[in-house]
Amino acid sequence: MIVSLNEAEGMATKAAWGAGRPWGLAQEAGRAVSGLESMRLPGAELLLGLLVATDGVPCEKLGPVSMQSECWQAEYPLCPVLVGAFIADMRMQSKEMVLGRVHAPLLLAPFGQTVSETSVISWSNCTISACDEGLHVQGAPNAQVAEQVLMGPCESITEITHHRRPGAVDIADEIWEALSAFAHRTYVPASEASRLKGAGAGLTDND
Amino acid sequence: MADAKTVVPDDARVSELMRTPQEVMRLARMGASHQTRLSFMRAILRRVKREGWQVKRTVWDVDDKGVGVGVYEARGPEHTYSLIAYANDLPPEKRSDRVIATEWDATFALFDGVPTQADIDRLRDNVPKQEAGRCAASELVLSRANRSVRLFDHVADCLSQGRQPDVQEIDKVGYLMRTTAVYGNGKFGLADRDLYARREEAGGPFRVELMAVWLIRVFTVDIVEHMARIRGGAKAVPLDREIRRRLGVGNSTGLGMAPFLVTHPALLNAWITARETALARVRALPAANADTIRHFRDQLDRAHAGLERWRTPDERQSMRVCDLADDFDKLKTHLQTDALMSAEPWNELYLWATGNLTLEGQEAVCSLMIEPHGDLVDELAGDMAADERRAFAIDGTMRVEAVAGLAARHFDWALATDFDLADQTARFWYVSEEKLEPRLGERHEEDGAELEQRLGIGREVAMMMAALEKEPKGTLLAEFLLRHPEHRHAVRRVQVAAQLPYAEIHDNVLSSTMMPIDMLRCKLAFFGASRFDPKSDRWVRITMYADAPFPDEMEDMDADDWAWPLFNENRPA
Repeated sequence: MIVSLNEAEGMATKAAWGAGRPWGLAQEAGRAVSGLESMRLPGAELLLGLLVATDGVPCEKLGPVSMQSECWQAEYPLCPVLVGAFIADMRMQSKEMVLGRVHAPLLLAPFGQTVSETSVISWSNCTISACDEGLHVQGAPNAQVAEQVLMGPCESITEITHHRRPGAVDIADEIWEALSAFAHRTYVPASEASRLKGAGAGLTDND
Repeated sequence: MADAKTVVPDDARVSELMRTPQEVMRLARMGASHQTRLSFMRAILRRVKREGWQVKRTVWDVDDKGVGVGVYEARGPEHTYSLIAYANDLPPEKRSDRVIATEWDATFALFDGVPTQADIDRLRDNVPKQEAGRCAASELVLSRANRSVRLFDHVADCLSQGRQPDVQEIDKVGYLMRTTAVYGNGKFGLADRDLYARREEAGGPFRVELMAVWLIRVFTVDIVEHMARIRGGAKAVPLDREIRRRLGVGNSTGLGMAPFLVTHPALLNAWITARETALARVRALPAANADTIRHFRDQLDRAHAGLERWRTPDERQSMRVCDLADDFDKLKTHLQTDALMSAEPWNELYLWATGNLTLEGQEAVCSLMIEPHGDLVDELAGDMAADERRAFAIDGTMRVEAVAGLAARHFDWALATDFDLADQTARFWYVSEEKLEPRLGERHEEDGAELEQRLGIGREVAMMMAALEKEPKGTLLAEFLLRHPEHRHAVRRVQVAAQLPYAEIHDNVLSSTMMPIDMLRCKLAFFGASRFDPKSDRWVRITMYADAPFPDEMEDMDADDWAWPLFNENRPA
């Protein structure tokens, strides 16, 4: 399915909300997905994996048990949107974060782009340097779960392998449909009464 | 206008005279908004004139039943935009303005550039289906329109018999066709705004959408003349230009548009800031010269006379139009004194209006005061775009008590509301499964409130405050949000409101007394719409571009003298 980035963002936001993320966090998920898709990276696919794996899990189980511990751990793998939003909120500061198991760590990258000049995210076989214009990706970024992720500021980026580019993107039909199914949970079924009253059109819309 | 060039108001004084958000961002006042010089349609036509855009019809392939395609090319200095119009022979029983309709009298795409035959063919399979079809990034706008059957038939009949339609009939309706949706910004596969936002002519808000509507207006006349020729043959005549100009494009807008102002805080702030700055600049002028006063009085006379054409069967609005006529009478009487001779005469007039006129009247006076000061304010029309992404980041390094302080300052209206009262949460906004469109439900009577859209910002902020109060002082906001992501949206809005003063509506949109049409009217006034004709508390018809020049008149006419048009019947004796 060829979709606009605006559609991708809207769908990701609604899907995340439908999967139980609070609205403000769902907005972050939408932003992260359209950010990755604009660099032609599989944001929608990774979000879908995350939502399927954490469907029905309350948010508090997807964040760190203790913020004080050296390495953040959660009962489930950490949610990259929840943790990424925290890192973006804190503007990264200078500290390197050590994260235990993390779902879809590539979804951290858009948050890394919003923090300082440049940042670096790495896990077993992948290192991603991030700046506002794009990412430098070394290795395979598509991990569904990474055992340990390091994230912190870095000096500079030598080369951008994935630039942000506006314009339509191609998202596989089955991914789009699965996200639609999550989004569908946020819609209210209509009755004929609510159809008329809710839209307020009445019957005389023709002259 | 000469004084605007010679006397520039003092910046500090302009700042002092800016109306406060507490005053401006109330729904009652927003629901009394009028178009101004900064309205988007007017800014578009000023540019089209200034840059000498050329518009021509390049394709007209419509059959005897009125089915076919027309293409209109609008060529500017940098880019060309083409309206592709698909005309349909719609059975009357299928004609509906509601979003649940599946067929329309005409459907449109605004194409980026000049379409090939292959583009026209591809879009013929998609554009007539509207939401059920797909567009591509080469299309900027998707729209559809239905005929006003009454007026369309009257005009087609008259023209086919070689005579002109009755002006009274024209003014009763005001348009041959009304659009029921004008989509842009990536909807249904259209181009994302980012793809054209840097273009001079397309970067302002709703520029491509309203350019499409201006071209649709030409199509509505072409199709009625076409049908007249089919019916009348050689007897048929084209529509007289003076009559033609009275026609706008109608628009029928329901709840779908209402949440927009809530979901685009940075954009709302940019629009209101521009208009309020324009008003404050005029109020800060130390004196008014004779030309400006004459221009103002002239526009007032036209606005007053034009109320004759603002007809609505809606009781509330029709009373308000009567009140506005009374307000204009009062204003004229007031102007017979030595008003406008004092120091800061426009400010004096504004203050007089706030003490003596209804909200409709006050906002109309604001618009009229801005009108003669194009030199002073028109540049502000270039500052009305905003990228919501820039207002998205949260500063989590703030302490929770600082956030509570910001909320107390910028959401005092919300924190003073008792959301435990049933009336204050009577409504909930939701998206219908059927058409994926916003709807309004009654919380205490209907199911589905657990799926409500997060538009009740006031209530969200109140809930956030209750949670913040339980936090120890000194807690970092980011830590609070990691534990309580459910308050992330409210925190974002509080931080936005602290930076962008006009970002929030200062009213509870969940209240039993909230009128969605107030939101619709505010937005549509910024578009440049006129003759608001509410069909219920959540549905409004308007007219766009009525009295504006057609493309083939732009060279010889003033592009920006149509908001309060001058007619023979209201020409001073």
